[in-house]
Amino acid sequence: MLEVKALTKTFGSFTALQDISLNVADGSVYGLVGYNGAGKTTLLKNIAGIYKPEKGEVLFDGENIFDNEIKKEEIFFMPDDLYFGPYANMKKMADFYNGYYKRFNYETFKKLTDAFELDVSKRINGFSKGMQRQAEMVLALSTHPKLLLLDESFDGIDPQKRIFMKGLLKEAIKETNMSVIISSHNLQELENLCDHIGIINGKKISITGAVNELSYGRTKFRLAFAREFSLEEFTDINCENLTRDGQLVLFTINGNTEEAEKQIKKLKPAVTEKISLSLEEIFMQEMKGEDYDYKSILN
Amino acid sequence: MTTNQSSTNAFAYAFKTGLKGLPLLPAIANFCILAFCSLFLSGSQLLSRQPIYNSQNEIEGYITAKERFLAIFFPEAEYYIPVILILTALCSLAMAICSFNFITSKKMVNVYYSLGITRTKLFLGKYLSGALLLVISVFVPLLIILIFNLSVLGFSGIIFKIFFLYLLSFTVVSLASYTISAAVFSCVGTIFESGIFSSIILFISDIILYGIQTIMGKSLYGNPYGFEFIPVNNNVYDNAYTATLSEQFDFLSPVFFAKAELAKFGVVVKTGDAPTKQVIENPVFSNIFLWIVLTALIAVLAIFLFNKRKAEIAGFIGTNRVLNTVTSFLAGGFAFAFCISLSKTLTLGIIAGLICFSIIHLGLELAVLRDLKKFTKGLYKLPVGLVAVSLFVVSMNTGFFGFSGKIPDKDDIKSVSVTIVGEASGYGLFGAGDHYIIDSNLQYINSSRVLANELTSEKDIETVMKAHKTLIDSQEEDRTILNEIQFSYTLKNGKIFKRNFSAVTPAAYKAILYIEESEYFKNSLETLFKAPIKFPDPKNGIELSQEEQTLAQAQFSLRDSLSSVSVHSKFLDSYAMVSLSDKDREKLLSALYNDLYNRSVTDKYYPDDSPVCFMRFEGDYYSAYWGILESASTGTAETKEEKSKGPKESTFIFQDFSSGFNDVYTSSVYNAYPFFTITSDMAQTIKVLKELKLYSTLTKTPDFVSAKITSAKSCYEGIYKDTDVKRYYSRYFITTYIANPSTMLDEFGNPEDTSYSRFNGTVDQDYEGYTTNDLKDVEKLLRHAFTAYEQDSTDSGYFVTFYTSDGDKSLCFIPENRLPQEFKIKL
Repeated sequence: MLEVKALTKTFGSFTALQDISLNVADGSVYGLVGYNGAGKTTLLKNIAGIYKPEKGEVLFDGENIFDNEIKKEEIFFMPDDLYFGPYANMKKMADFYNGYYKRFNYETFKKLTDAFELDVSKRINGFSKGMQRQAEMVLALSTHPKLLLLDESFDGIDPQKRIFMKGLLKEAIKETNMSVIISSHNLQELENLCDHIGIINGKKISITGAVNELSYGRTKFRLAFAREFSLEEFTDINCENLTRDGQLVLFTINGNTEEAEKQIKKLKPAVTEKISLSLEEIFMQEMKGEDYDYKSILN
Repeated sequence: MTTNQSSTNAFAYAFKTGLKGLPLLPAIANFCILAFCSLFLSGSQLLSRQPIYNSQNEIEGYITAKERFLAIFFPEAEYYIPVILILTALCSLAMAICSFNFITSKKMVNVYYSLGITRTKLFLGKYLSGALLLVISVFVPLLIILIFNLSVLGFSGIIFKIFFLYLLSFTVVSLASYTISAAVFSCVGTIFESGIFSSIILFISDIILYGIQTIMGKSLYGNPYGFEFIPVNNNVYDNAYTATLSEQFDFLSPVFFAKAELAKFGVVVKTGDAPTKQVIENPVFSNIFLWIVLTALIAVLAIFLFNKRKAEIAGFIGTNRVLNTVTSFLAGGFAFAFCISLSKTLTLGIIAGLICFSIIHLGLELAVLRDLKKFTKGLYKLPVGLVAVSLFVVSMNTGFFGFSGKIPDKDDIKSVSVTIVGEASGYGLFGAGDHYIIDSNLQYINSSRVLANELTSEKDIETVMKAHKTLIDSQEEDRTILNEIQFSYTLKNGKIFKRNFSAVTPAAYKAILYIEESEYFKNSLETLFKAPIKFPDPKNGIELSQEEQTLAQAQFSLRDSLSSVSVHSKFLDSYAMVSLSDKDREKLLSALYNDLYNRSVTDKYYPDDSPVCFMRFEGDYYSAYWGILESASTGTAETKEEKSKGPKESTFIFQDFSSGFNDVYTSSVYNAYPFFTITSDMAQTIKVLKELKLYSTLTKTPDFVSAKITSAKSCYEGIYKDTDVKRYYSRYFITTYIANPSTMLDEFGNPEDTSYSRFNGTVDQDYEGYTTNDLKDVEKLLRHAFTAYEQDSTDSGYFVTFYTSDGDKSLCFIPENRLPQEFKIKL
């Protein structure tokens, strides 16, 4: 199990992460979400033992990870910015990781390279971006890690391979109880894969929890009106993100919806829908995303 | 998916991979450099044969390397070793770059720092692999040289000693440079910085010591380090140097700590092969052992720094403020010192130096930081640096906290030596070209004259200390004489206290001349005239040092019955080769000895009357030596001295000097042939000359019909050396005679340049002056003219050229206070 306890990471006078705490249980998939520059990669690098936090600690199975060769052998970090040797092919990289990971398995490597249809003798730097990510995934899974850290690892990969990779991950998790932490901007993708989510906002984890619990206590209502109406009629309803789209009105209710539903009935909408929030909607609500005035930006 | 555990050890793998790929390149380069230099240089020498010539200059045989040498590793090592050491250090630096470049790439850091290996093991794996490659690159070429030596020269302990010296030296230089570079690498974010900073740190002691010494040389009066003795003729090949600060403190440099030993033992010649004999001593390994320990400590530091290193600095420049500042200050300081070394005067040098310091310092800061905000924030460092270097110069210029003014306590002094540089003229024991004793700290011996070596009597030491104190108490503007002087005190505790003065006052200069009245000189005269003459005897292991050989040559020239004596007239217009009978020779030498023994400094250098004549002795010591060897080999017990006898009667033939230059000065540079100015106080010698019927011819004045007076000031270029004070060389003037200049043609048949400046470095005939054809004036001038006199300062006094009706001319000197006023106003 991975525990991040009150982690703070600074770069000079700049604080990148402040007082971050999260837990990732064995066999779970944790999605890390946040704006660009929020600190997702920084957090992953702290977990991987590349960075040393100024405060707090990262524990894996109860042991501090930093400079811990035994624990780090059980972790594989797949960065956004991949590195392969200048003239390396997959065989050479396999040998490289075999040199540092006791659990590296050439059989697994062979099966995966066949499955991904990757040529082990070709220079990896000659691969496309997507293929390089596939190659890295092959190498990662061949080390049989207990904790896999993926930083934007599905970027550039075609949909078919994505599905395949996700399937592999699920299988690996099932077989070995491997934990996975994925950072991504593709919230829909995370929604299908992750069982837990953490949103980094303002240097901290603003929301963390099981995916199915995150939307708990948040309900989206969509009302359709056959009559003329104004948004002022909704002032008595304690809602958020109240928007009008023609004869449709959308808003979110946090907490108990009983009182809100009474108020809604009074308004006599033609249609009333109650919808669970998607991950993206939860993210946007948390980030308090603004509508951009595109016209004024471009003109 | 199955999991089979690999048996790989991460540390071993890191080490193994470090032996492949990029790190091989610097190792190969290092190997090639050592192999090329050592194999090429030593190989050619090992296979060489030296021809043996007979008396007809025909080759009658060859000497092999085996007969001449005991070991050949690096011929002419003193020239090549510094360059090879620098190249080795740079290869080691390159090895550090190749081994540790992964920590400067963000992408590579992501991989390596996330691997299941501790930072210490990762560092050691890479470090040890690079170290092993360097050791192999040093060992293999030297092993080949060793085998080569053993097969050509035969087995000997000295070969193995030198092999170990070279092996250990180059290995430790490689490892020290590599380790320092690895430590620097661990502190910075880019390869660019690591290359620059490592280079500077490797040579930090040399840079600092160069800077200190340069500034000391220009501003610290009495500086003893790296002092350059420059002969008056400015011949760079005759320059001699005292040990530099870098040489004194060579143990501080990770690159040059073994340079001195390596240079000394590049080649070992067999004993008895004079004059190239080298004493076979054991190499000194102390500096090497010191750097083995230091390298180990730096390695521990490097591991610590590597562990502390933040991964996030990878690829970022300017992250280490300490190294940034140290580097930019050092580079700026070096530029400052360099400007000072090039400048004519100290003031100019400081101005130029401060400008250069600023440019270099700011340029480097900008190059490393690449951030205008950070650069601007750090601008406060510039004035700090400028003030620091300025204060350093000021402290040197004001005597460096009493350094300039220090003289040892008289009670602590065991002996003192004085070295003076001037033209090969009248200083010291033998008159022109004193070559008697050589200071072992000087590399070249031709132009630096040890005036007196190891004076031990209290009176003599006081004389020297008095002269020394005169200098210390002098002011800059009074030091108008450019001649360099060195005082070297050997203390009772064995230490050497040395001070070198690049310019002196007339008073101090005069005080130093009084060393010629010392007991030391009296004893030296006795040795010259009376002590037994030594000859080398290689078969019995008797070798003569350079000093002993020179003395023996001089003694032989004086005393051997067959050695020639030439006497030159007062104006050098005529001379005689005299063959002395043994009796007359004995009489003359006795007279000379007594007169020289009793002659005062004033009588020699500042006589009331012009010298009477000049005398030179020349004997063929080496022929005598070979004759002795021949006698020894044929079994006869006679020595050369016993064999040779002079003529029954002394004879001489006077010749007028008919054409060309007669310049005893230039003919007496090498004092194996003693030269004497016979001054008018030398009554006994004059008496002998009269008895030999030489005196009247020698003292006859040629029929001069005109004279041209020139002020010495108009003839000399003063020199601004390091200060704003114009200085002149002082010298012992000796006359020059040019006979029949119109007949002198060069090899192309053109009239030869007969200006004095070409031969004497003094006055040129085209200099302005006052010419008189009045015979009375000529006579008056002759009464005051000297054919030999000490010029206290070259810009004082007058040169007077006397002309005969045939156009012959004689150059004489009239001191400032001797020229009648009537002539002064005409100039």
